[in-house]
Amino acid sequence: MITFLASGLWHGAAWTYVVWGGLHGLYQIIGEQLQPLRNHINERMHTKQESFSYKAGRIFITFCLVDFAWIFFRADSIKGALEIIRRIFCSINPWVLFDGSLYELGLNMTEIHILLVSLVVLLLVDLVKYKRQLRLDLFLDQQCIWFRWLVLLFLFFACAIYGKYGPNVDSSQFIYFQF
Amino acid sequence: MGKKFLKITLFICLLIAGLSYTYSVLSLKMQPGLPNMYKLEKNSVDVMFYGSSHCNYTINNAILWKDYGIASYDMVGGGQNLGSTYYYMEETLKTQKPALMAVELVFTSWRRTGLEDGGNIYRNTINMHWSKTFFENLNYAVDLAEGSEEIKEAIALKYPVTHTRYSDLTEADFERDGYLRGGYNPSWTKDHYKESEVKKFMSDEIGELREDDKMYLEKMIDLTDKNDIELIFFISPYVLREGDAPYFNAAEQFAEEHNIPFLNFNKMYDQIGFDFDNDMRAEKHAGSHMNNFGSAKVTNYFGEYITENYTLPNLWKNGGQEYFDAVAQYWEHMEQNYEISRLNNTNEYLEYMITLMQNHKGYMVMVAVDGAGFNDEELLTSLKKIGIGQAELGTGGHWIFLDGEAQFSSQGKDDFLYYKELENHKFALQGINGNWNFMLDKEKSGKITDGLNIFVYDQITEKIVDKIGIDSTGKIVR
Repeated sequence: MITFLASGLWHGAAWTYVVWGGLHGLYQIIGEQLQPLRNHINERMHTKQESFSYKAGRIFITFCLVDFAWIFFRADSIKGALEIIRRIFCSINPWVLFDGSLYELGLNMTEIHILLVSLVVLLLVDLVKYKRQLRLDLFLDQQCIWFRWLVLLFLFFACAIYGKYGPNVDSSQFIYFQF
Repeated sequence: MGKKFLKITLFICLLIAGLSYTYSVLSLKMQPGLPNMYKLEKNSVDVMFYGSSHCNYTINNAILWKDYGIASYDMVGGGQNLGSTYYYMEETLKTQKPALMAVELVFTSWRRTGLEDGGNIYRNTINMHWSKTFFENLNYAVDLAEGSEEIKEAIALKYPVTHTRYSDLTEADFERDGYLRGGYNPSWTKDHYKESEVKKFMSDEIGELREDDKMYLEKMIDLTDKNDIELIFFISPYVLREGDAPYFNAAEQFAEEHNIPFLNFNKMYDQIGFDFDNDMRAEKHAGSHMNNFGSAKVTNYFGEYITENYTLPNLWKNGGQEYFDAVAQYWEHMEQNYEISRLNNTNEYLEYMITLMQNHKGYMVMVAVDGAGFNDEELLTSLKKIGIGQAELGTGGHWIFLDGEAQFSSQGKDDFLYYKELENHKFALQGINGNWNFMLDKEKSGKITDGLNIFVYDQITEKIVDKIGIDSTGKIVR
């Protein structure tokens, strides 16, 4: 717990970071304490722990817990974070998923499209790494020249056009924009 | 080794070609002055106008061409400091050899410094081709704004600045010829000023020019002398701000000392018939820029002044006339479109519309009649001129005219489809079970009122000029 609280403080001198770190510590403690109970339930329910669905379920729960903690990391204050949480659970309005509100949250439609394409690229690179056990450059070395060049040119122009650089961009601000 | 070298060379070529294409798409195009000056036919412009937006909103190149046969171009930049104006003049001489250069000098008083409006630096530097002039202009503009070396490097490489335009791209960015309309920026809006406001800061006091401005004015004189080019300095009419007049008086004195004609239009209101109640445009820079009525007065004065005092070589005769004709045609259509869109008298409207479509190429007109009975004799006479008589009005139908020629008639049909691919747009008219609508690209429109409906589209300006309905009482509905 102390390690996670310290890692929260390392990100900034604010209670929001402390809570963010504390939540991660809490997840670890609860996870560890509940391990026997989870094992017991899995045994009784004959859960197929090696199945894709079981693993996907675990990934989903971890993703939700980490996202929940991020609310505190991103919020300006504890009060602000609690207000966001209140709205998530008490002001449910699915229409916001379709009325264009998503494009008002910081990324416009073009940027969201770029983000989606980038995620696909990232996924492909990960697949190469884990399935073929190869770094991208070594994988490309094994490919035909036209494919290699296409990938290199695509990556170059994607970075040149959509990259965050230039006189109005402070990269340190981009990485730790509230540090 | 040879094969590897070939591969590397080919890859670098592909990279350069890609960078060149993507830069051409991403670059700032909708700017007056540059980069469009580079697209002009070499050595085709007789008179070049320079300066900031004050010049951009003053000199209407179409009027100079149409009414005086003067081939001119506004080589301007918004918020341009005097040094950049000089470098723009220097850059011009790489592709043009004008007989006359006229420089607007409001920036002997005004000056853009600091980085609050960072766009000001980019506007006045980035579109210039890489050359010694480009780097000198860049150093001048960034140093004056107290910008960093990082900004200089980014502009020098161009891509770090222009790549951010990816989310602002329009179809025009992908067109090879793109935007080429000369520098003049039109507006029919009006802002009203009283004589007391206009004359509040007028003064005979002679101030002192800034040292660097004086140096650039001297360089302008040297440059034009060396290249055997006539030079004129002028100040456009606007609502003077406190402290402006002494600078202009100093500039006037400087011009006199160097025997350069100086036209301060703020001292010539009566001479040009300038009316601050009608000739200024409504905009955020209140009192700064003229509208089309005001600019026409100054442009006409220039037309007469140049005709009387200079013999131009008519360089356009060697090539380039097409561009000046296109600028004049575009302007003529803008004026006509403005006129028709403000007409509210039905017969005047129909007469004007028929004259437009029959005498000027580029207009597409759709007339739709819902079997309405019109009794107005004048209206019937007008419609008869385009082949819509009493019988056609009775049965109803749709008629489409392009360049004055009838293209389509839906008379007697409940279901019909007319589709036309215009230069950059697609038009479709569709009727199903007696209901109809039309589409220009993705914009769908239909009936405005029962009776007569008219849609006018101009291919030259690529704009919908007007959509009106004429109801059974003969009244125009918009």
